[in-house]
Amino acid sequence: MEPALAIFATLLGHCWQTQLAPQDVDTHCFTDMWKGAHVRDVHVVTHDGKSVYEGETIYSFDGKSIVFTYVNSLGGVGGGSATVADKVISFTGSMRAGPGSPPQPIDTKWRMLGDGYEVTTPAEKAVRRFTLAR
Amino acid sequence: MINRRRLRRWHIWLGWLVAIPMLFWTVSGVVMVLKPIEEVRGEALIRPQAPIRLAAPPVPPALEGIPFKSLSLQQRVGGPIWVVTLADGSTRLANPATGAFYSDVSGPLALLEFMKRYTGKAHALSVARVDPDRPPLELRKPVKAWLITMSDGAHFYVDASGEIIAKRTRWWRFYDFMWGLHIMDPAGREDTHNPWIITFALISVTTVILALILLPMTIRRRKAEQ
Repeated sequence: MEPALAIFATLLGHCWQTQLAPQDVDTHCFTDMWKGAHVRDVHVVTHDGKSVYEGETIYSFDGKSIVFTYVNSLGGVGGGSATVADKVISFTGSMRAGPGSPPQPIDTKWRMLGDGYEVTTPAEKAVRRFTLAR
Repeated sequence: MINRRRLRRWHIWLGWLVAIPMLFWTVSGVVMVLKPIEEVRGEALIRPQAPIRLAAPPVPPALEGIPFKSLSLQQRVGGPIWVVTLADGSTRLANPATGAFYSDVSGPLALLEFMKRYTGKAHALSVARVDPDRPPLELRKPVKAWLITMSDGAHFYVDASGEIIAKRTRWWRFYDFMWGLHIMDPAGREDTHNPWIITFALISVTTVILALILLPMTIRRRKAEQ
């Protein structure tokens, strides 16, 4: 695996989920792509068990830093870069929710835990904890 | 003896017949030369791939018994990669370190490959899969690809191997429409040998030849009248 992407190693081969609302669940499944050249994160947001939208993020090392690109089934597109420090991945970039939507800045931190990861976004007050999906 | 009046009548009637096609030809011709072809093709919008640097001798993929056209080592965001072009034109990817086959590029990876080489100032609005059985007219190729739509109206197509296979700026699309008019194939924009253009081209040539015959005859007649 690309050494810069090793921070994702504990997530690979598993699906992780969090409760967005009482009936809404976001599930992310991480896989190694192209023998570690990229990490693929396919996610689906469900409401009452039915898919609302799906998306995919690719994490790569471009020779200088970790870069990510996101595309979802609603037409949303995003991307940016990430830095790693002490089991925390800090993502910065921008994201458009749909083709006509204005760009929204991405400023998110993932803290890697032994049994999942926590996601902190300044815009959201709550810390989202992703645990192994059953 | 050639009858000047009859020739003149033929010239006028044929002229009426080819007036609209000639207008299309000249207007589309003007449009097609207004900008350098490199700008029309958006060549400056994509930078060339970085040179390949190998850490070890590449291991070719196992292709025994598989009919293929070419095997090439190409640079991608994640490093060098084997691109195998099969007999049917489709591509397969493989790891140059082990020869193991890879999956096709996904939407975000196609976008990543594109953005790493894009030099323009627009941003991506959407990424959509192209149906190889019904490719858009502007793509022209029945291949698996991703369409990236930019905020300036440009369309870029990235194939299943991550290669940018088509750059379609707004001006390119207008140019392409004019090309379709120019060759009288607005639906396919490929057939330069269709019956319409052959017929109208022959009529146009006849009209011009008639004009060249009539011109000295008319000059001689006017001189004789003076």
